[in-house]
Amino acid sequence: MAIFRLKNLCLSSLLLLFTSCAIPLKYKLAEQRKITSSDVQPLVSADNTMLYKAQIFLFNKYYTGLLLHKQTDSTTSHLVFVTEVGMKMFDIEIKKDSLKMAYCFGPMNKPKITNLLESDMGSILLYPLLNKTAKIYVNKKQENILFVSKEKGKKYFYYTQPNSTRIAKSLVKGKLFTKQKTVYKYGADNLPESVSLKHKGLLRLKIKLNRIITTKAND
Amino acid sequence: MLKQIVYIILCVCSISLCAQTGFKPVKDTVSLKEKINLISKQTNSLESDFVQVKTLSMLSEKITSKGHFCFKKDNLLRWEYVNPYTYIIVINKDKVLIKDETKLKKYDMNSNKIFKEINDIMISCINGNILASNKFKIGYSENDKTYRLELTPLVKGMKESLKKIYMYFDKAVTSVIKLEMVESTDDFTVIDFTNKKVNGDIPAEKFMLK
Repeated sequence: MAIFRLKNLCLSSLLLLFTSCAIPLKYKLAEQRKITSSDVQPLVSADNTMLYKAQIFLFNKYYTGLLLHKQTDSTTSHLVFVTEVGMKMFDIEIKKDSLKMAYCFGPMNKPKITNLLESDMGSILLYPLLNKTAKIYVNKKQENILFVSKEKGKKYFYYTQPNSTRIAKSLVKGKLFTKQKTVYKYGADNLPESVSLKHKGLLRLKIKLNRIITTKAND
Repeated sequence: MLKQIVYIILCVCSISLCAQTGFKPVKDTVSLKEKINLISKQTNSLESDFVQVKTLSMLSEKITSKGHFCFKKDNLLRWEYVNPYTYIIVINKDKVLIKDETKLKKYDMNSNKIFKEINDIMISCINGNILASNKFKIGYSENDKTYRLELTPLVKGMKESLKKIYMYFDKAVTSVIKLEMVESTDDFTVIDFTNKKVNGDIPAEKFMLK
């Protein structure tokens, strides 16, 4: 009986390991090359200021506020999280596809947290994919594309919507398990209406973003 | 979370008692303090609309939000954003309630030392003791139209994030017209108050959230 249980455990572990690293069977490798904005629609455009209502669940803490993305010059942009009442919680500087925490509110300002935020925000904004070399998989019906890129020991899986360059969801996998899942929904203007990220593991993080359509007063 | 509440409490302080150019030091600060204490004592309830403009200095970006607040002695407060999002914070005696869209969070003021501290600050604001507080260094200045109180936080924790708080009163010292909070990063938030209603009847339901 004990041997049977052990076998089962080994088999299920192997299956889990196999499935967590696998490309879905319906996808076939088409090519490998550098991914540009003509392959994948960037989530933010250089001339747009994006404003989202944000809910961030970090460990057992819950933060809400506004997440603002703004291009400051041709190579730099900022991602700033401000609470509803106006306190800045963090400010991530994005320069040449690299994210760096420029400011983080005291209690959150710990390397594990800032690294997590940099990494997950970067993943949401497609930085591990855009201008990086990735494998391109196409499904049997030639409708959906799956981009697979690698960065810092993690594998990034970005799935497009059918017949579109818009990303529908992404998965980030570590050596064994899926660490993070992000789902994107788009509005009529082709920009993301909502983004939902869930990060599993010891560093638990959930991010929910809902776009705020800014009025003239907010511009 | 706590910092947000401190922010709101400071707003209440400013209103129940609360960058322009051409300011010079007030000569008769005793008289000004008396006036502020008087309006504080005479104010049992207060309602106002507000427009909050957050300026992110590095990005030269402004985020504008609008809302309404209600305050009732001794310590009932409702701070509600209605545009471009809905977000409500209610302080009801020893309870702090936050409603974000549909999600409701409750906190017990007494279970947390910081909440207790915040509550104490609030009460001292309402009864006018804030002017004698050792938590802020207070400077008084004026121009033709307004009095300005410059509060410099002295308490560790607050002074690391807030550089200054400016409270602007009309010249007759009837109410606060504007509040400005400058953060250590030089980002700042300006809140303008309009349509004020002093000592009106505010239903108790306003200070409950479901």
